[in-house]
Amino acid sequence: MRSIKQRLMLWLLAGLAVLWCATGAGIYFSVRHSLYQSIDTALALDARLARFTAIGDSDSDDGAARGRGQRLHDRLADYHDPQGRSFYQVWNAQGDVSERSESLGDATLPKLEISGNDPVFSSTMLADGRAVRLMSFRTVAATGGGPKGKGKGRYAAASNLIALAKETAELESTLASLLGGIGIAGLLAAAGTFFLVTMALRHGLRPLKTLSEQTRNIDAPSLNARFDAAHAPAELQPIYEALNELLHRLEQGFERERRFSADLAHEMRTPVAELKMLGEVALKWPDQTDPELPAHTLAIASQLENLIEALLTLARLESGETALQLTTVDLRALCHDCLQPCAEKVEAKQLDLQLRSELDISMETDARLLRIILSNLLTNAVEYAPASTRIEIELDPDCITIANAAPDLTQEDLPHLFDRFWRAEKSRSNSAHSGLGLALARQAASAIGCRLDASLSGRVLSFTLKKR
Amino acid sequence: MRILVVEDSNRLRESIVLALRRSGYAIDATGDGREGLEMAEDHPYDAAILDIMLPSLDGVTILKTLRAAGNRTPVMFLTAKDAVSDRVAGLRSGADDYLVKPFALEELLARVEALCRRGYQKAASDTTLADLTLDSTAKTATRAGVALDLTAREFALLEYLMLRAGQIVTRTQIEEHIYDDLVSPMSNVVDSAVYALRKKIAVSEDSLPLIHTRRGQGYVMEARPA
Repeated sequence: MRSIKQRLMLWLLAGLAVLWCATGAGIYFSVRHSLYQSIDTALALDARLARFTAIGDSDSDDGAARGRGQRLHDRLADYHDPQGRSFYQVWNAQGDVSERSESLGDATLPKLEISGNDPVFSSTMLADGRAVRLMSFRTVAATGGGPKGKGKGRYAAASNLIALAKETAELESTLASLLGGIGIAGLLAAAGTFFLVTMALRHGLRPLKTLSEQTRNIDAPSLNARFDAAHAPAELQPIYEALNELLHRLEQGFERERRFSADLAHEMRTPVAELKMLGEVALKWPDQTDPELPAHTLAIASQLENLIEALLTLARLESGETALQLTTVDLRALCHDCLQPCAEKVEAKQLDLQLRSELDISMETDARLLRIILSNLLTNAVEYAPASTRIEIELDPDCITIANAAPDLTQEDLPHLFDRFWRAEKSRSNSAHSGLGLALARQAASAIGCRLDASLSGRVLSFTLKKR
Repeated sequence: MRILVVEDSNRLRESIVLALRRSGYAIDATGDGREGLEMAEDHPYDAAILDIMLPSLDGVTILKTLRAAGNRTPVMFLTAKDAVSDRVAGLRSGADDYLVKPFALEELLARVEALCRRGYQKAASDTTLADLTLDSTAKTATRAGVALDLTAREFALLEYLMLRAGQIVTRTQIEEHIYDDLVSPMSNVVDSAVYALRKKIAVSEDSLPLIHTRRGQGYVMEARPA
């Protein structure tokens, strides 16, 4: 079951139903018990009177005993009530019925075998279908035979079995109406509970609905909106806070993308403007065409190509689409390869290239990605190092360091070095560079499981590529 | 008309300079912000085209510095920054116009023309003096219904003189507004140019002389008998 509301409803309703049933049953059975108790008490009281009447004084004489027998008869006759709801029956020592109440009519009370002195209670049904509560006991007359003769012995030995009974129809009907009452109350309670639980759940879960509505209203332009966590229910606070953090990250991400798009548009506009101007000037004054026009056009096309290539590589690296092709890369050879295209510039600027490493040094990694990193770092170093300074390259299997003098760079610039299109010089006069090189290098580094960091100390900028 | 172009993309700058020169403007150009500011401070340009992102000094700062010093040269920003906030900031900093790259050459020329007019409080591209009419947009001039055959520089000279009709224009002013640094004019260059122009605008025997010499001062263009 996936709905919290349904789950809560099920648990609450099932639990309350069990509780209600138990309560109803408890009430019913305790009332039933106490009603039977009161009947039993009444029967026991009658029985005690009957027994008392029957036993009398053990030292009494025959006449007295006979009188007592008469008294028992009278007492039992008293027991017979006009409504005919009480019954009695007496069996003498021989087991014959000696007395029975008229109210019994044709029916007889069952004769229970009783071993001790204690009375035995039981609920039973008369032959004519009347339900009764029955108590059977023996009247124990004077114990042991006395010297007073036969007659006395007859009474003394008379261990009558007496059964007293009361009709339980009234009790049962009381219980039945109680059961009906409990049933009706239970039904009402069930309906009420269902209504209350539904209302309580709807009300209690309203903040969730509010949350979902608020969340639904968020789209890209409204990412600066935040949830009002302060007024949220305590249980939802963590969710609200997490959502707010998520929104913050999303907003930053979107802002970064927006800035990137703006930068990209800006980056492409200048070459396009150049192309357009070249074309329009050539069209407007066709007889005075610049002989260098094709060369200019080609240069702009290459610049745009580089930009697009860099963007695509960056996008692929960022999306994690690149599958690594691990090979053993000779780091010294790769360095030399990467420096090849800037050889002229190194010469022109009289840069002092210092490569420090063991003679045979290799790294198990993706050669293409490592080339992107090294090539960008080395080209940057050659490009931005002031003339006649030193560029230091240190190769180690776990750490590659490239350092060059950077007199114009400040500590504030460091965090932006890897931003796409960031340039220390705000202008685009040096159009040979896309401004994506370091962003690419960092992305490529993370793809091969390394970290690329920049540090600035004493006007020397060093990039370190370290295995993570 | 002499125009300053400060744009750091070499190829774009060269194209713009080429197009403007061929349209008869005298052009000074640089790719460096600080140098651009110095040039704008040194010469009374008829208009200036500034890029915003420049090495050493950005376009907005150049403009603000100029305006703070009371320089009223009409200025147009030429930039790849196209956000509304960028345009607003550019115009608020004192620019007269704002053109986003890439742009159409014709639009650039029309805007530059409008900028130059603004410097002479002129609302339309047509200028008329007596029976001489000059169309700054079409770069044509007609005298009494006869089209004049003028070179780009002669047209620029005539336009400058007509825009300042009734005022004395010195030789130095002509040098500054018609010739750029590349030409490096000698003093008699202006005289011979004016002489050639006078001959061209005298289309018939009874044409009224319009360009008059004020000895020791310069020239004045007005419709009055010699």
